[in-house]
Amino acid sequence: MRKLLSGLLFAVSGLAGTAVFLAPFFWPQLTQSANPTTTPLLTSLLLVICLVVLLLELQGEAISARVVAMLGMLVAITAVLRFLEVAFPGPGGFSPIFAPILLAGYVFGARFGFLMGALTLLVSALVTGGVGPWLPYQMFAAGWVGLTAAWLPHPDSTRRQVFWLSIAGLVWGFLYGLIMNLYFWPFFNGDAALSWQAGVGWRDTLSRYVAFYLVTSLVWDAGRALGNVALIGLLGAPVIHIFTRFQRRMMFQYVDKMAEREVVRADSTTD
Amino acid sequence: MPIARRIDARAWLVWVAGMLVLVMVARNPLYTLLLMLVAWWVMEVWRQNGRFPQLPFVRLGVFMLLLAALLNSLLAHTGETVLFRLPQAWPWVGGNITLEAAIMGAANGLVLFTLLLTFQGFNQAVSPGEIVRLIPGTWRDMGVVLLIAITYIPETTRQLRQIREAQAIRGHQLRGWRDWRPVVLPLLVAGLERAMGLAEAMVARGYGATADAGLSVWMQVGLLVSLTAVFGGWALTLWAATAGWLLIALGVVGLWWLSRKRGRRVLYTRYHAGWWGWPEFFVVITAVLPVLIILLPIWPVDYTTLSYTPPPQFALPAFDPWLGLSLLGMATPAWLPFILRQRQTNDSH
Amino acid sequence: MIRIEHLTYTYPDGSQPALQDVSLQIAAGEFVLVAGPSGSGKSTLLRCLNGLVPHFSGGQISGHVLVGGKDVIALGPTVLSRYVGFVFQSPEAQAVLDEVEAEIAFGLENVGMSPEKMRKRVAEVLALLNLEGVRKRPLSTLSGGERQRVAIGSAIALRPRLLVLDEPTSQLDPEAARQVMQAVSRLNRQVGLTVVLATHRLEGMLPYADRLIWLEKGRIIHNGAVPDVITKLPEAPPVIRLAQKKGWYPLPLSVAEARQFIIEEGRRLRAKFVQPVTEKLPPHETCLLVQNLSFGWNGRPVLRDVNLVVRPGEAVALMGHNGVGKTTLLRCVVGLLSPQSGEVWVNGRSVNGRSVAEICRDVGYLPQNPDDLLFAETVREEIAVTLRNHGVHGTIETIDNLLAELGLSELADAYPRDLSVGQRQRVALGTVVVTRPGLLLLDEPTRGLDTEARRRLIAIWQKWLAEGMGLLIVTHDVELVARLAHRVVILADGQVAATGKTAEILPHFPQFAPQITRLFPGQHWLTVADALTSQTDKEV
Repeated sequence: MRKLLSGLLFAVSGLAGTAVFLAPFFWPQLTQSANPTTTPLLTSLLLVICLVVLLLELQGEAISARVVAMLGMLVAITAVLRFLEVAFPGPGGFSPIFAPILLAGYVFGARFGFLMGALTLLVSALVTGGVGPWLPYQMFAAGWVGLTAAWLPHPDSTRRQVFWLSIAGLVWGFLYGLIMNLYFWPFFNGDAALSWQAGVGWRDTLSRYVAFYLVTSLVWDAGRALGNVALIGLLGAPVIHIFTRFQRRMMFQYVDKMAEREVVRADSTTD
Repeated sequence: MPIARRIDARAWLVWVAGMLVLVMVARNPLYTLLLMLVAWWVMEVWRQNGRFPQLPFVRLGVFMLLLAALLNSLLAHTGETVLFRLPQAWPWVGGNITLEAAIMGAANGLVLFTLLLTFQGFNQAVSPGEIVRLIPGTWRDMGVVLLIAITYIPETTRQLRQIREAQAIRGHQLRGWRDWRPVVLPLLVAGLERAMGLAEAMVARGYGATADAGLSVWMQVGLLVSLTAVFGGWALTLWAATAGWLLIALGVVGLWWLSRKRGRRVLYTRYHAGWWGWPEFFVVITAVLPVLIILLPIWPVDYTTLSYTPPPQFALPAFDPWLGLSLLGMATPAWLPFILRQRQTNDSH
Repeated sequence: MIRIEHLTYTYPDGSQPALQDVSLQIAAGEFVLVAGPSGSGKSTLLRCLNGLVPHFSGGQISGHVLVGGKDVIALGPTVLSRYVGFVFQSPEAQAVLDEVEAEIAFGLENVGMSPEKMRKRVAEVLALLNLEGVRKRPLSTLSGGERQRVAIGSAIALRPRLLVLDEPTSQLDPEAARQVMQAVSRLNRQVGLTVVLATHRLEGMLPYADRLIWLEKGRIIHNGAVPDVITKLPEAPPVIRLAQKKGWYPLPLSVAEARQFIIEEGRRLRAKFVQPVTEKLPPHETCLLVQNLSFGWNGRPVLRDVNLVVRPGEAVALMGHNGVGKTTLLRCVVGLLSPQSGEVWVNGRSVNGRSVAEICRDVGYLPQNPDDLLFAETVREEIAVTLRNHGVHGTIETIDNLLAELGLSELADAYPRDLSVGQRQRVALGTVVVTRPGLLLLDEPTRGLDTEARRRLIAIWQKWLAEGMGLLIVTHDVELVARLAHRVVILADGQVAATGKTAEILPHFPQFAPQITRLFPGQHWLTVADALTSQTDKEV
């Protein structure tokens, strides 16, 4: 029952979040009365609510100190790698944060992957001064990057695993740009064939968006996608090796055969 | 001038929220300009707190304005003051290039730049630790993850330098992508080993003493219902605005209640309480007032000046001095430090 | 306070038990040292005292552990955190937060103590450990000794009855180690805290302890009062060995205690001053020649006019307090930093204008942390990578010979990260000397190693010295200096304060001198053997 509800919560908040991202496509077609200027703020808040629900659910299963420490450390490392991005700029929209998120989600599972994605973006925003209304969008999207990595097939050979991860890196390279653009696209309020306009219908909106994306982002995102593939191809196998070694130590839970759990509870509440 | 007394992060959050609402609602470029100047002033004052290297803001601002103006004038062809023409055959950019479109673009650029400045000021004034401490007890674990990450970023940076040096010693050179392997792998293993050690240390110091098993079923159901209410309400606003907003509010209250309920089961206290005094109170009041004035149309000001759609022929937007004056309330965090320092020097005499 | 009965424990992957049938009792208020070579089960035994073993590590356990009447194995570490404070080896990997007082309060937050009570408790702990001056400072700006004291503070904030420390000083320099030990001793004597401390280096720790337990292969071999146990150990500190040979009673545990016996013997303790000599040598006769080197960070000078010579076949020790610029000097030599003025010659060639990679073909440099070097899948591959980096054509024999020399032949296909500290140190050494450089720079090469691992490394270095390699060693390990170094260079305030033959220089710098040298300030003796032979000479 709990498992089912948990899955349902994931599905609903995922759908709701997607709806928020896709708002530009269907929102204005229904009505002219909505005040488009307040929408960006409102959608940011709606995403925050989605995140809140997801994090509450994710925290539901008591998280061990090991997972907490491991997450913290991986987030720190990824954030540091992001500094490198500034020092050694890669092609286009390349960013070294996606490969670690994908790999972590792939080896450590969906929960870990989502948290890793969302928290990495949060921390690097905090330490580089990048907090803004775009942050919930980034956290949500990056969280799903980590989450979906866990759904990839897990064949036995590491080479095949790296292959699947590379595919995911390629797809997410474009997808991330595609959905992050959606956030500011209506906000940019130009009036041409490329920009969002209230009430033109979803077909027209979609074709405008595709045009906008092709013109402004395709090359940029290609850099990110190819960068992900290169990074995963290069580091994927040894990192999977290292993660797998630590996974057993991290996920381990001591089952006490000698004492009842009630004893522990009773004692911890005294004093 | 060094900052004599910091302002609590919660007051800053109210200020940021106020700025966001105002920038979004007051789309008149003159008001935006005013808000931009206010944000800049605040950022300049709190830069003394000095956490981030200064970005070249003047250049950045000019660049954003010009870029937005250029893009919009190339893509939007409305307006009557034609500057020049591009051949119609050119996709998207062909047609009249007008002054009005350029100004509209610049106005949008100004909005973006103001947002950037607002968050820059916030980031300068509030340390990551202070932000993380605002995370309610319900998210204690998440908060600790963030604190660990922030604590270990300097350590990891240092380690990265050491590893690069150690590899350089064995003749390693960073020439291409491939060369990152010997640097990234030791960094990763060292970090994970440290995580294991840290986890031990945390457990030995009682971390997780009060963590209980997962969410109960009824709480999951509660979450599901609240979430559905919020998004159902959002959809409902299309047809019945009031009912929709009511539903959203209900959902939010439900979530708040559930997370409180959950938070009470996580037993822990905070060593660093915030500080709340008259300066915080003042910042909040002066940030909330302009928002109330603008959102509740009951005041004797000219609300039509808030919006600005460029007329066919270029014209200066209208400006209500009283509305402008109320926006200046947002500048409190900029001049407050001067007063606080004054008081401190008076006290010491 | 502690009662352990027939404790046997095996790690999940272990083929044999890490602890075998250990029985032990410790009374309240005792200060107990747990010693033994690496892998003898010290850490495991300590982790049984607060339930980290088996609750954190898994594995098979049998027997009973009672701490203050609590069944540790049943209750687990989270509950035991109220009764047992635990301090770990590395000061860097046990802090959760970045600010001293917040870090100390972390454990208190976890039990939900009220803020007022918490503030009082934190103030108390800060006072007890002399940390009031740094209470607001970020941990990353503290010295190793201060950080370790913060760790102790965090461990005792919950007012445990037992304080357990796992090699708390092995990563520290001697001065910081002394500070930490004094703090622990104060807690033991003044507050009455029971202390159990594991260590692999007994020197300087004996005077604080009441009892010494010696472990080997998971079994308690000796357990008793310090003077009784120490005389039975294979590797006792020099003062003890000398005292045993001389038959001093009661056994002195420190240099200060031993001095009494020398005064009784009627020796005169007077130091002769040796004038430091600056040597002038043409570059081609040296492995390393540093001339008038100066270096500074952001206008603050770190090194000023440093001159230094290392001849082929000679080992030179570079000593000095932390932060005096020793590592900076090494980094200048290999070109990681470029000096503001002065020149460095390696094997008769100036390093000016050569890249780090090029210089390091002629110089082996072993940095402080060997793990920074290791990333490959096997030991053999690890060494091959260096050859490839340098574009040197190495045959399989080149690598195999080196592995044999390092005693790693059987581990050639092992995953480097799985090896013990001593083995990893030797692999790291292999990666920097595979090009057979004429000069080897070592930065704290024996830190955290036990006697056996240290002995093996010293043997390797001695062989290379005999083959004509030059060694420059940055170290705080005075016994290593006494055994290996021909000359010592003392750095103070960024300048060379003194240089000369080891036996002549060390007596003037008691903080860097071995126990025997400190015990006989007037003589040029470094080791127990020196003291014994010289004395017999005189007496005969």
